[in-house]
This record gives sequence, structure tokens and C-alpha cells, in this order.
Amino acid sequence: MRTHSTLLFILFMLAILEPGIGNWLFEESNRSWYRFHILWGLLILFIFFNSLRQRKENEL
Amino acid sequence: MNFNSATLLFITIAYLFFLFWVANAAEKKLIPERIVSHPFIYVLALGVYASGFAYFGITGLAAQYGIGYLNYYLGICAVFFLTPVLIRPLYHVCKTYRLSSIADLLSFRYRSQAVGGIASIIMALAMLPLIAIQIEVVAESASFLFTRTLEHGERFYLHGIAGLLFCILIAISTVMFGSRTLNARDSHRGLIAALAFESVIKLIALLVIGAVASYAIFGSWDSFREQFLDAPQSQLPKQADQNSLRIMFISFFGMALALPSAFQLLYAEESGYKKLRIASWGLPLFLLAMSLPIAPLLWAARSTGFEGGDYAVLHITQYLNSDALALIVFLGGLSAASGTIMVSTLSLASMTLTHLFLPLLSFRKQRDDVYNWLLRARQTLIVLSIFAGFVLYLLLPHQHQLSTLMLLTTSGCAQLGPAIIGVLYWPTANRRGAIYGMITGGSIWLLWLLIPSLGFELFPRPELPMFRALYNDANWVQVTSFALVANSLVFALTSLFTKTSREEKAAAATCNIDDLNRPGRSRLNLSNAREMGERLSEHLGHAVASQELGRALTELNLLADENRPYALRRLRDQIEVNLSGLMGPSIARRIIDNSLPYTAGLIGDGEDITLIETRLETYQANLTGLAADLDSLRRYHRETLEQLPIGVCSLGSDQEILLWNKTMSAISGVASHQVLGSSMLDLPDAWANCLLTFGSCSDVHWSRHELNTPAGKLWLNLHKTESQIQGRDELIIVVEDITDTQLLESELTHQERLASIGRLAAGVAHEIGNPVTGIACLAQNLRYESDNPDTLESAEQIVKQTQRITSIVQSLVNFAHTGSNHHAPGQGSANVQHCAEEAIQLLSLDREAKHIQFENRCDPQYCVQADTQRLVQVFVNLLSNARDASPNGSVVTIAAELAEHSEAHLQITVTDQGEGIDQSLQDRLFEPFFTTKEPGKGTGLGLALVYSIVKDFSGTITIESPLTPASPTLEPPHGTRVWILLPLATDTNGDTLEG
Repeated sequence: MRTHSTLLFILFMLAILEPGIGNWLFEESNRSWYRFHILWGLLILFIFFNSLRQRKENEL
Repeated sequence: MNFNSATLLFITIAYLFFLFWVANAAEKKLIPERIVSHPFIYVLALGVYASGFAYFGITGLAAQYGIGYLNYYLGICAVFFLTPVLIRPLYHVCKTYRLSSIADLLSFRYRSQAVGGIASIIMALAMLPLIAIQIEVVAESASFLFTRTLEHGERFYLHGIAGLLFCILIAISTVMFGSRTLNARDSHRGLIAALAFESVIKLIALLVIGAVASYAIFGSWDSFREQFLDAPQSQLPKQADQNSLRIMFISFFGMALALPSAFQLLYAEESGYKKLRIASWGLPLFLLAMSLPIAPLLWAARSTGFEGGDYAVLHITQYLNSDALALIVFLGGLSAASGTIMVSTLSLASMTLTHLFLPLLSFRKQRDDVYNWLLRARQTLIVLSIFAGFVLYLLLPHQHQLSTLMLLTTSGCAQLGPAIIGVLYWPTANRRGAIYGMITGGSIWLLWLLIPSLGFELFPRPELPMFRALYNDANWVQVTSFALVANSLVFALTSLFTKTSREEKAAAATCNIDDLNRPGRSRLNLSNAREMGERLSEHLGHAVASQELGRALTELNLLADENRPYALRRLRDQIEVNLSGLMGPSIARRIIDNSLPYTAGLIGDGEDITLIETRLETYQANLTGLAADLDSLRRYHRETLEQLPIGVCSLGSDQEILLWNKTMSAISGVASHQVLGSSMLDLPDAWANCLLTFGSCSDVHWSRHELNTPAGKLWLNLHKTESQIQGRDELIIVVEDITDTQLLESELTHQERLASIGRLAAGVAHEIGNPVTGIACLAQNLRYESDNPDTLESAEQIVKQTQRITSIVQSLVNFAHTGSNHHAPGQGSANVQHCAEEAIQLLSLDREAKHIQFENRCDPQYCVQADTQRLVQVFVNLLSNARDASPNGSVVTIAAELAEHSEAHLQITVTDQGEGIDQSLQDRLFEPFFTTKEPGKGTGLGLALVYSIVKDFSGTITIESPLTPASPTLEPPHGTRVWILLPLATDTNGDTLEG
């Protein structure tokens, strides 16, 4: 089975950061609205750059 | 100002017409190809996930679950973030086996028509609330535009009429540009372009309304922060609500995996890995943009006194009282709803047709019109699906929330989740597990969620102690959890305790990530592709069978008279795959199994090595880690085997050729791609007989086997061994071509014989010389001792015969001496013209010879590196032969000129006007004792002697016969010309000597 290191890394980071991120995200205000979107955007960026890197590796 | 009904109808029709134009323009390539096939267009088309609910209903979810509404988007995003482990392997399987729906996939994996049928029923029921949502949002927004003052009762009838009109229009649109072609392989370029266009419209509309609302309601950033960001979040999920969020996330994740509309776009369309890779971040980005304005919109609506959740967008529009904004909102909603409803019903119709209706029908009745019939049936089902959604919409209680309907759909779709995960990650999962699991989960969902949502409660929901933590949560959370747990447990336990068939294991191997299918090599009771077509026509009708056979042959690049077993197996698979795209995998398999059955099971345990090799060649780039290492090792061994300097072939017990390396191709003259997978009987006769006989005999070695092939005679050493791999009843034959060695040995033997003759000749000459001289002396003495004329005549004859013996003996001695190579080239120089003249003189002494005219055309200036006497001997022999071959009165010419290609050589020709020499004899002319003359007239040593002398002079000699006449049409070819090439004589400075 192929090892998808990027996905494992994301899951690992989410697992160890969950307590801290959870508090920050669910603060008693509507700020969680944009904080969720920031985290979501960062995840997309990560996937995007990883996809870019994989494409270059495949081209090589 | 309010919009009247005619205007609304016109806007809706105009929009749908424009959508149709976009689709048509894309299909007819009026829109540039680079735009239509751009990955971003595909990503935008995937925006069909964001349905009318994401436009009007998501605010209701946000009102109910606070920030938890993001789970709707995050569940879908999670599936795309996991593209490498979820979407890509499913894409690979679906593309390879032409699976166009989730029911196709499950039916293929679990090898069961029932699995596909149950999945179709669950999906059909689960999709109805989603279709109802789309109808409702369009009807609601149209009613809103029409009038904002009607009472509830009046609005209900208005909704009904608006919904009905929308259903009619969307049904026509879907049938027109969504289901014009039947084949799953046909790319719906137009549909993709139209969906992308709709996604752009709904995204722009939502962003515009979000921006306008935020600006209009909050006014400034400070106000936005004060009223929205820093305001206490009343809907913040409590601890108990975390359960809802988790279940919501799982449900939306399951929905994103199983939703028929998304499945259609992800796996049935020709997207390709590149587009999927871009979609893995592109669609989450699109959904992020769609989600961004939702919370501000809700809070803006709340700020203006809105207390509900659904349709916050409409409330804002009403508050701002802008017709332009209202129109944008309506178009955005129409885009979201129409796109979803079109793709959903398209895929739903295909799925239900394939898995619910076709199994009940017999194809023999439709015969030649199957394609048309299927198309009509599918279009009917599209219309039925839309109106079933409309009926559900009418049946729904008035006070319901869009989010409740959406959660009904997601919860239903999630019931397929365990079976889908099993497809990829659980090879021992079986059809019983999948069937019982889906029935259990689906029944719980149906009885305690779907039916109660319509206002009926058939059975009270049991409250199990293990779900005590969920007692405070909403009904859907409890039912979904219960259904998913029960589904998974039944699926797992049944699969564990029941047997998984061999067929299912093979399908599981096909579906597993990185696990290439190991297809078996079975025997087909067919002789060629035409026979395959005849068998198919018994089940499909002649026209359909011919069309499908022709299509498969074209796709595999095979000919109609193909008869290789390997190719026939591939053809069978390809037809099954093509039929699978048309009728679903179960029916396709049933038809193929009935019409083209394998005569027996697997041939031993042998895999189809040829197919595995072919697949590995194309799959190499996807292998990593140990698999890549193993593949490298395989390539190394394969290359070694291919490059071996001896031929290797492997034969199955059914005489199928499994291996044919390069040397084998070179020896036999049959390329490996022509014979791999074919029967040994298809080889050229000589090879087929040889290999068959050797394979069946008890010998393990054949040495110096003589094989007569059209290309010539071959000498082979053959060795064989049986495969030692357990279960593989195969024979490996090694073929060594020793033809060159054999010819060399023959040549050496011949040379040895010649050398022996030379030595014998020298001895015989020496021994015969003395007695012959004695006989000659006695015969001469006899002439002086008798006057008897008869005696004198006899003495004369004796002298002549002894002279002849002496001549023969002298020739033998000369031949023996030339073989000893005593005369090194360059020892002297000989004038060619003088030598030729001398030879002519000698020949002219023979009075009994034919009357032939010798013509010496040699230039006296040319000298060659040769011994004069031996050169004269060469000329005497050649001219003598020419004279013997020529008719009386003809001319024999000897000429010399500089060689064309080398000025250091002289080209001497001796030409006669005889009949020429037969082509078959020319190769033997220089052999000793070979003569074409009558017995007693030639020794057969003349030309052999000439050859030896010329070789001694470092020259070459060739014969051209018959000569091409000056006017071929008037006279036949005749005459012979002997070509001698000799090096010109040079002085000590290397300059050419002249006579």
C-alpha cells in the first residue's frame, strides 16, 4: 500500500493540535467564523503546494 | 416593484435556454477547447455539490448549529483532501470497468445484482428529499419575487404552481441536453460547461448578496466587528451538540462519497488524474468561497429582525428592497437548484434503470432497438424522478426546515458508507455483509427518519442504553448514529462469519489500492472473434452484438478474424466492460457468462502473465516502496531473459505461448507480439511441428535437430524443462541456433578434404610420373623397332596418352603446390598483355581444337603483381574453357583495364559467346574435380587451380553468366565473362610499373 505521508502529516498535526486549536476556534464569540475559514484556507494551501510538489516530482 | 408571473416565467425559460446554448456551444466546440477542457471548468462543475440548500438552506443549519454549519462543506472537503486514498483509486476502478454509479461500483465489487439493487433503492429514496429541496427553493424564491404580501394559504398554491412549472421546464432541459446519448463513455462536455457556468452564477450571486448585506446592514468594519464578530454567539454548540457535529460531519462525508450526481461527475466523466488533483484543492476553495458569506448573511438578517434560519438571503433582499438584488438572488438560486436537479436525476435514472428495471427485462424482446429503448427508458426515469421529488415536496409538512430535508439525504447516503469503504480497504468483505448491512441501516433510516419526516410514525424508535449520550440530541442524530452503527456491525460480522467467494476476492483485488488484479488464464471455447459475435447475437440481437463486437475490436486494435486465445479473452473482457457501461456490471456479466462462457475454470493456478505484464508496464509510475522494488526486480529479470543469446519460450498446457524472447523471435523470424498469447498451432508449420513434437516426446534434449524453414535450413539444439512453480503446468523450451557452427564445421571438413586431395595428388603425381615416363620411352622406342603401320599407330597413341597422363599429373602437382602458398604476392611483376599473348599462342598449337578467334585487347602498359608463368597458366585455363564453351567461328576476348573503384588494381576479363553457365552450377565451379565437360575431356582441376593462383596473387575471381545482351528484346542472354581483379605491380617507391 502506498504511503501518503502528506495526509498522515495533516492527520497527525490535527490530532496533536486539536486541544489548542479547539479552544481557539470555539471561543465565545463569532470570531470562530473567520478562524475556521483561515484554518480551512491554510489546509487548502498545504494541499495545493503538496500537489504542486508532487507534479514536479512526477515530471522529473 | 414586484415581478409578474409572465416575467418570472420568461426569466426562467431564458436562463434555461441560455444554459442550453452554453452546453450546445461547448459540445459543438463553439467555445474554445482550451476553455471547456480546462481543469478549472471541471472544478466549477463539481460545484454541483453546492445545491439550492447551500444557497437558501445553509443559513438554517447555521441558525440551528452555529459554526457547525461548516460541517456541510468540511465533510465534502475531507473527501477531496483524501483524493489519493479515496477518489483516485475509485476513479481507477470505475474508469477501467466503466462503472458510472455507486450501485455499479458496489455491484461490481460484491459481484451481486442484489447489492446494486439495494444501493439503488436507498439512493433513490435518499435523493428524493434533495430534489424536493431544489424544487422548493425555486418555488419559494419565485413566489417571493412574484409577491411578498400573500398569506400562507395563498402562497402554498403559488408554490405548487411555481414548483410544477419548474419541474416541467427542468425535466425538458435535462432530457434535452443531459441524456441525448446513452453511452457512459461519451463525455458530457456540454453538461460540464453548463454546470460550471451555473457554479459561477451562484458563487457570484452569493458573494454579491453577502457583500451588499454586510455593507448595508453593518455599514463599517467597526460596526461589523461589534455587531457580528464580538457578539456572543448564541448558537455556539454546547457539549451535547458536539455529537451532532460529529454525526453531521460523518453524514456529509458519506454523502460526498455516495451522492449520485457527484459520482457521475467524478468517475463517469473523462476527468483524468490531473483534473482530480486540481479538484483536490480547487473544490475546497470553491466551497470556502461559498461558505464565507453565510454567517455574515445570517447575522445581518438577524440584525434586521429575522428570526428564522432558512431563506435569510430572501429576507435580506426584502429588507434592502432592491429588484436587481432580488433578480440576482433568484438567478443564483435557480442556478444552484437546476444544476443539482439535472445531474442528480440523470445519474439516478441510470442507476435505477440498470439495477432495478433492466434485471426484470429480457433483451431478446428488444433485439435490434436496445439502444433506443434504453435511451427512452432512461429519459422516462429522469422525468419520473423529478416528479417524484415534486410529490414529496407537496407531501412535506408546511413547517419544515430545509436543513431537515438535507440531513435526510445525507443520512440516507451515509448508509452506503461502510460498503464503499469495504470496496477499497476490506478484501474479505462479501456480498452478504454488504446486503445485510445496507438493509439494516437503510431500514432504520427509512422507518425512523424518512417516514416520520412525512408526518407518519409506524413504529416507536427504540431507545438503546448505548445511545444514552445522544438522548438530548435531535432525532436525526440518534437515528443516523444507530443506523450507521447497526449497518457497520452487521456488515462486518456477516462478512467475517460467512464465506467470501473466489469471484468476490478477485474483484476485491481489482478494487484494492495498489493491488493489481491478477487475472486468471481461462479457456474459451471459441475459435475466433467472428464466432464470438455469433454467440453474442443470440443474447443481444444481431445489430447490438455486431456493434459491441466492432467497438471492442477497435478499442483493442484487433482484427475481426483474431483467433489468439489471449486476444479473445481480452476481447471478452472488453465487451463485458462496454456492456457494463450500458447496462450495469451485473447484467453485463450475466450476458457474457451466458453467451461466452469459459469452458473450464482457470488453467491450473496460472495467472494471465501476458496481461499482468502489460498492466505493469503502464502502472509502473504509480508503484512506490516495496512494490516499486519488486517491479524493478521483475524488469531486471525480464530484460535478462529477453536479452539472452539463446531462444526461450514458455508454453501453457493448452499450447498457449506465454513467453517468446527476442532471440526466439530472431531465430524463428516471428515477432513476440505476434505470437504471445496465441496458440502454438498458429506458428509457421515447421516451428509448430518441431515444438509440438519436442514438447510431447520424452526427450529433454535434441541435439543438431535439422529444421527446414522457408528462410532456409536451420540446425538447432533444443532443451526443455517443466515449470517448477506450484500449480503452473507449463513447459519451458530453450532453443539454441547452431546453424552457423554447423556450416563452419562443414566448411572445415571440406577444406580438410581439399587439403587431403592436394597431398594425395602430390604423392600420386610423384609415383605415377616415373612409370609413365618409362611407358613413353618404350612407346617411342617401339617406333624405331617396327615398320608395321599398326604398331607405329599404336605406339603413337601410347605416346599421346602418356602425354595426357603427364599433363594431368602436372596439373595435380601444380594444384598441390599452389595450396602450399609458396608463391608470395609481389614476388615479381607480369605483363598482362604478354601473358595473354603467350597463352593464346600455346592454345593455337592445338590443331584439333575448335576454330575460335582469340582477341587480345589488353593494354601492354599494365603489369600486375604476379608470376609470369603462373599467370600464363591462369590465362591458358580460362581461354581454354572459353574456347570449349564457344561455338565454332566465335570470338573469345581477353581485356584489361583499371578497376573502377580502385586504381591500384587491374580488372581482367575473359569473355566467350557460349551458352552460359547454369546459375545452380556457378557456386561449384571452383571446386576441384567439378566439371561440366563430357567424361574424359576435363579433369575438373583447371578452375580450382586458377582460383588458387589468383588467391595467391591477392586477387579475386568471379563469374558472370549469362551476360546481358546489348538488346535484350532481340537476343536471349548468353555468354560468360570471368572477372579477375589483380593488384598492379609497383616499384620500390610505390609507383605503378608500366610495361
